[in-house]
Amino acid sequence: MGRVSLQGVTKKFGDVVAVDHLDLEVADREFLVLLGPSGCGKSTALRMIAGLEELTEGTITIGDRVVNDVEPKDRDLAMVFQSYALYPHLSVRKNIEFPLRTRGVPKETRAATVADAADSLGLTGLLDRKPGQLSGGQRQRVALARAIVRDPEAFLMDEPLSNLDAKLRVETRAELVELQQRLAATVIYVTHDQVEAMTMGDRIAVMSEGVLQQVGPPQEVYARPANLFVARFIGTPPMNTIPGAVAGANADVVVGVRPEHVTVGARGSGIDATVALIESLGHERHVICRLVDGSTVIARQRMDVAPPDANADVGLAFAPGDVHHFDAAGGARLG
Amino acid sequence: MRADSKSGRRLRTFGSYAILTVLAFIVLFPIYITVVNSLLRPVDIASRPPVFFPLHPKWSSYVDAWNGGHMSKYLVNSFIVTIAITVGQVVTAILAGYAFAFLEFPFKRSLFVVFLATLMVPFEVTVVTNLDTVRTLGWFNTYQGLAVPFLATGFGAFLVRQAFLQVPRDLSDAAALDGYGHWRFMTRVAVPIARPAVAALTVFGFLGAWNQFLWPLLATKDDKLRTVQIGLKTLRQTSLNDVNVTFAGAVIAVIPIAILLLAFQKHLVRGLTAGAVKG
Amino acid sequence: MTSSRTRRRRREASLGYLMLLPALVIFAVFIFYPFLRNFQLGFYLNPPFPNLPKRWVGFDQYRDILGSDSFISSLKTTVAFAFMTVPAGIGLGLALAVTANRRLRGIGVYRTIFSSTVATSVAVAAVIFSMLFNPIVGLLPWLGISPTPPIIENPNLALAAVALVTVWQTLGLTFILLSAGLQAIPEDLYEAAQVDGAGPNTRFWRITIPMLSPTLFFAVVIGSIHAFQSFGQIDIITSGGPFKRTNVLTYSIYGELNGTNGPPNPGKAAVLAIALFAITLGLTAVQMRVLERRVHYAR
Repeated sequence: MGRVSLQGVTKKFGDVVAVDHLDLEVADREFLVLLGPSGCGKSTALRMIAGLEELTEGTITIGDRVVNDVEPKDRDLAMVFQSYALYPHLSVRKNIEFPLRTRGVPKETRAATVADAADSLGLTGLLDRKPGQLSGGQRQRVALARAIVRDPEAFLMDEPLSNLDAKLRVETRAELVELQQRLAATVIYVTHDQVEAMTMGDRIAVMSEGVLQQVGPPQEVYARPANLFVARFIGTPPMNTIPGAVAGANADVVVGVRPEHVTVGARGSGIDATVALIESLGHERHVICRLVDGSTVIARQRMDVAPPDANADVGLAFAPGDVHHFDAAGGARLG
Repeated sequence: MRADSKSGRRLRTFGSYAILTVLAFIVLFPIYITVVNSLLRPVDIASRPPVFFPLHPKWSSYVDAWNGGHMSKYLVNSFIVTIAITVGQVVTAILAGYAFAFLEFPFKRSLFVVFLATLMVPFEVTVVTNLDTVRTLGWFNTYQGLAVPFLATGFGAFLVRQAFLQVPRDLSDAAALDGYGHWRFMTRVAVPIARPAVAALTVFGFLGAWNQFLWPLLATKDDKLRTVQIGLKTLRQTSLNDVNVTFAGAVIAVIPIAILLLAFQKHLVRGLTAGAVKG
Repeated sequence: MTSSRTRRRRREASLGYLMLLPALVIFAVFIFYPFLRNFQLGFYLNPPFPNLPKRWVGFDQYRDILGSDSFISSLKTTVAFAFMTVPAGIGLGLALAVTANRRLRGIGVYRTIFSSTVATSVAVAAVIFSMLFNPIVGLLPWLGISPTPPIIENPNLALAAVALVTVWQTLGLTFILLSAGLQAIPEDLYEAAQVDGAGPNTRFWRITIPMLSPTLFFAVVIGSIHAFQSFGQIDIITSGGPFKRTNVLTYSIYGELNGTNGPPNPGKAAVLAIALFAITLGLTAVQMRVLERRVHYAR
């Protein structure tokens, strides 16, 4: 069973707490994305699951087995690295075969498994090349093939797409999800890219400064962010956050509105603002407005709506149902 | 105007070749005259004006150097000692370099400083006691005595460590997940990746060991153990009347290294420059 | 949990020490122990005849030897030797490297020739040149260079002759080193300078030399250390003579050990070895300091 469970997992490097009492349950066959800015502890968490870092505190369970003291090789996990970690002196075939060799799989079985994996990832014609002769996308697929042949309890992926160019990244995203469904595999996927998280994950776990902020399906995390950090981190452009006093609410709250929920109208409707900049993206428009206290609010407009004039004095309105309230002191969601 | 600059360029090219050829002649002349003299009769070597081309080459000087001058024995000794030293240096450097690059243990930094400190002690400074040590161990005038003191160098460990540090950390992590322990990771992944550095160290170690002079002079006492370098000195003293034999001996002493260098020129350059370009 | 972790750590540490052990044993026995024992040996005066007991004299021997005329003159000889070999060697090596650093057909052949002396050892070079210097069979006398007494026995020329051999023998090495440095200078720097109207001279002094300075610095340090440790060419060509005019420090250590000046005297050899070490160390430090300031890339 490819279930992975983290209980109170903590990692300290000297005085620095990289991961702080992380509780996380990953179900069998689930695609879970660990999302957060760089340095938030997501990679450290993944490396602890892999056994590459020791735990300072807590318990990690894979299947029904506590693996705290189990060597990486005995955890039955496969990992795909950001750099792909291909052995530069070995051919593609030898690279894919590598984990099987170390496990003493007989030669014929190895050859068949490698051929299958190569075939499913379109690598058959490249088996005798060295990694140095491959493109970035091909290397990435070799790294995947090497993970697949293991048939592990779970796949761990550390920013596997971030070295690809933008176009290839979009294509590979879809391929990865398809692959995960075909293999019925458990995947724990680390990324700083919220688009990857939103499009690929069954659930997203958002981390910041070593602390887990929220776990849930992508839509839920987007629609009901648990705190200000999540609200500001997910969504492009990010959620507007306005001090309660300026937005006409209590001073001890922060009001959050997504840009697509802001309507730019005439002065007097909603809160007062001045248009600072208008960015046209082709399919939509971002109207960047300045409030009286100097803070910025971004509104998304469809292109068929008439734009406001530059530097115009406007009013910003939003429906009560689209407004999020957060505690100004702690940042937690209210209601 | 165009024709002018064209002929000017041609003149410059010609000038470059002229200068290069003159310099090449000067650098190569001592080696050339050595080869010529090794093929002349002693009387011809002393003739004035000197003979600059052997019209009737006399190869017997090589036979004399090889047999009578014991050059064959010296060469064998040199090969045994040099190969032992080279293999030893490479193995100890890989082991130490791996420990410094991939393992964590108490006092690692201090121990690395100890390794670097060995570079500050010239061998000439240790020779007084080493001679006693080798005598005490019963290794005077033996192959062990010639080889063992040089089986490890701080330079080698440093060079290999630097190369190992270039091995991406993801690679060792991947290998750990794939079930490779340290020994297998070292021999199957780290060393193959660091091959350029290991090759440079091999060439460098071989050259250094082959050319040693002071220690084999002190630590041997007869032809049974003398290396080529010491043998050449002996040959010169014993064949004063047959200078052609000495010249032949010098050529014999150079040939193995010349072959090695022609084959591995690239690696030597890398070994030499490793210390110079640290960033 | 903790115990398994410490067990893993301990295993990794043991492996680390195990891997360092072979080198450490060699270093301990053949570098550090003999290095330290030099100091102890220096406290004992060796008897004038073998088989008599050594006598403890403490620092007296250090004072006597390091203050003696023979040590001072040996030191002067060593320094003079370094001054004869290092600048000349690097100057010639640089000349060869710059000359060969251009795109011409067949330049590889010239490069191989210029680096060819790496194939020779000190002993080979010394044997070849001692024959060429020889007044009967040598070529120099035929070229009209025939001083009396002959070069090798001539107190005014012997050291220079040994220096010449050294420069030639190390030329290949210097050439390779400086060539690699030259080739590392980006081509576009020269092109930019050319566009700016800099002539060949300006380019050499304003680009080549500053950009090459780290390599030159390295070559000077290595060259000096080599010069101070030169032995084979002196042993073969002059045996320290004439009148000890080529009796550099290493040769005087060898002399005390080998019994060239009476019975072997390890005590004296040890004191001389310490001096050699101190000089090498000091030399490196001074050079680092002095050259550090001038070694920088052009801004």
